[in-house]
Amino acid sequence: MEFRFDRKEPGVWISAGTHVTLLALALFSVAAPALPEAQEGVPVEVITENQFSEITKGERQADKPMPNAQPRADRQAEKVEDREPENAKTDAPTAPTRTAEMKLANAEEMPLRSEPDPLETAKAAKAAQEKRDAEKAAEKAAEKAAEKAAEKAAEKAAEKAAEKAAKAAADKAAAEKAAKAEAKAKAEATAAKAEAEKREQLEKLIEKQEAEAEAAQKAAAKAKAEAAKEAAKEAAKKAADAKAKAEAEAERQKEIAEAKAEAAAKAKAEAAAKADAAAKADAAAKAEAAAKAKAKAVADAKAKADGEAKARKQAELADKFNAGDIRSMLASKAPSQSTGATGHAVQKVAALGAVTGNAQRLSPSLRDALVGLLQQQIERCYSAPPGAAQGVVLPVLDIRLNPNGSLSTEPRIMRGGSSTVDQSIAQAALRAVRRCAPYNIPATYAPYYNDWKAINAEFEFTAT
Amino acid sequence: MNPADAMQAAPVADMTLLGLFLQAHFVVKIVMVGLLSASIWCWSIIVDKTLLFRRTKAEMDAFEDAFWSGRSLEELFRSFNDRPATGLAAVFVAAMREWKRSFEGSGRQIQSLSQRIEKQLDVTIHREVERLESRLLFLASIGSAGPYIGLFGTVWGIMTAFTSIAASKNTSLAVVAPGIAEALFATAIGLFAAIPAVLAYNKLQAEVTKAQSRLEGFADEFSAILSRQIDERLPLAA
Repeated sequence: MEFRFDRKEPGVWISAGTHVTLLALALFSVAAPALPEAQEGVPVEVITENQFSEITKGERQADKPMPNAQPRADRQAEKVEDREPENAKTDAPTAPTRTAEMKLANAEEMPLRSEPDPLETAKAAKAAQEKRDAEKAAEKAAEKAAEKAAEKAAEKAAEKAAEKAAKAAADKAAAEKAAKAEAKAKAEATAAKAEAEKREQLEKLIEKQEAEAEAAQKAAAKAKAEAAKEAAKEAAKKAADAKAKAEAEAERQKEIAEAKAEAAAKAKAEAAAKADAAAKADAAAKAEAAAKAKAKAVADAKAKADGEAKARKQAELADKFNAGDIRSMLASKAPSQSTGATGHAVQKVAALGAVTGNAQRLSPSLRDALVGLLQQQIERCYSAPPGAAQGVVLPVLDIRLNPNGSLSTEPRIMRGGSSTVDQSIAQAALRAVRRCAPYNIPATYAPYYNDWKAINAEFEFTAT
Repeated sequence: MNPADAMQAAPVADMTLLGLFLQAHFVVKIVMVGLLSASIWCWSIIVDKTLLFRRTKAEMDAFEDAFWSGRSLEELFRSFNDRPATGLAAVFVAAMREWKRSFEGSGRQIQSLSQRIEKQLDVTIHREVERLESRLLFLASIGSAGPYIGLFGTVWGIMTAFTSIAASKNTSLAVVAPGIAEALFATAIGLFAAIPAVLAYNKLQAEVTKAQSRLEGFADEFSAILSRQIDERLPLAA
């Protein structure tokens, strides 16, 4: 047909024009709103069973995949308990953010002042009492010692003097004097020594009594000494040639008296000195105590301020956002009571899955063959219990093996039957399993270890 | 396998009309182009026929007015004879020509004049109806065959789509969808062409029937008039 415009038949042109217009409109209008991205509602990733076990072999938090993936083990287990990776709990306890010595910036929890402990004060009081007692005892001892020393010295001197008198009366006076001087010196030395000790240990309370006692003693001693002196003088005058005894006695008495007097004098001085010392010590102690208390208060205040500042800083740090905190918080959902993961061997570096690792499944025939192998090996060690050739219920044993074929845990009876015969057969089988322990497992089974590390199988042994 | 990888593996589908057409298989393309041109042709027929029927109806009305206005038949014949006549005019002119021819010679052919005029009227009516009906059958064909042709394209396209699934070993919807979409596009074009064709065919066929009955009615009436005239003249001739 001819394509020529006919006024009577414009249909072709009208139709073609309309179609072209419609198509153009459709092209532009349909193309304009871009279709949304084809996205599936839930992105599902299909992986094989092998891939899944590879993923679950290592640890999720590990840094990188390792060729020989092993779960982390902190220490070697005495009893190996191999959990499936999906059932393994996170055993690692979370490190606390706040250490134990961290204190809160809370005024109530800060010790305001280190107050003396009642127990300690009681102890101190006791110690003081004991000291006092000891001092008393020492004093007494010192007194006694002084007296004894004085007596001894006097006796010695008297004896010497008596001998000398007996030998030579002329030398008497000099001898006497020397003896006296000697005795005196000796007594004095001892007394001084004793007193030096004494002085250090003296106390106020006793001082008064002592002073009184000494006052009385002094008076008595004076009187005595005078009397003795006079008597001695008289006796010396009376008996020029002198009776050794009397003289000695007199001398002795005199010496005693002198010693006593001296002792009394000394005691007096001592008492004064003691009082002085005591007063001084008291004052010093008081001053010291005051100073100490002051220093303590200052130190307390300083320590408190320091502690508050430190606690505030730590609290600020603790309040700050810390990604590690969140992570550890998430990781520590279950408070761990274990001491860490355990395994066959210590494995410090955890692996994130295995690149080439495989956790293949035993095929039913392979599994059957393995059970047969085990049965064959166990049977060698099996001795049937007497009178039980064949049980009714075959024992089902739970055997856990290491990769090298040794037992990882004690074998258990999963199903032993109720009758005594069945039980005894199961026990015998258990013994056999233990006895034959390192099992020879062919190397072809090595890749499937994950599948045969725990074997629950029915064993049928023929009595041998 | 990663979902992202799967997305990359699948061909990125261009879901625009042009994209669908360009991605389609060669056979499907041919089907689409054929159906589109069929649609264009259908619509051109529809437009032409609609205009033609409107014109015919107007002419018929005008002729009837002129016929029944009381003018003499000779006058009418003269006014219509010199130009190509359609519709009622054609019928009138044909009958009048036969009449004239019968009286031009010796005037002896008057016996069977009525029969000849009848035949002439029938033939003219038939020719007119054929002219009106022409090309309507194409609409009928497209209306009935269009969906089938489209379906053929669809089936072919889906076949291709499944082949590509087998090749890519991936059953994700992203792989299957474009092929099915472009396949269904063929059916859509088929329906797009067929539905108007069917509707228009029924409508135009009804118009043709109406025009035909009108022509036949006029022819009957006119032949009645002419036979009366013949019968009036016979005694004169005898």
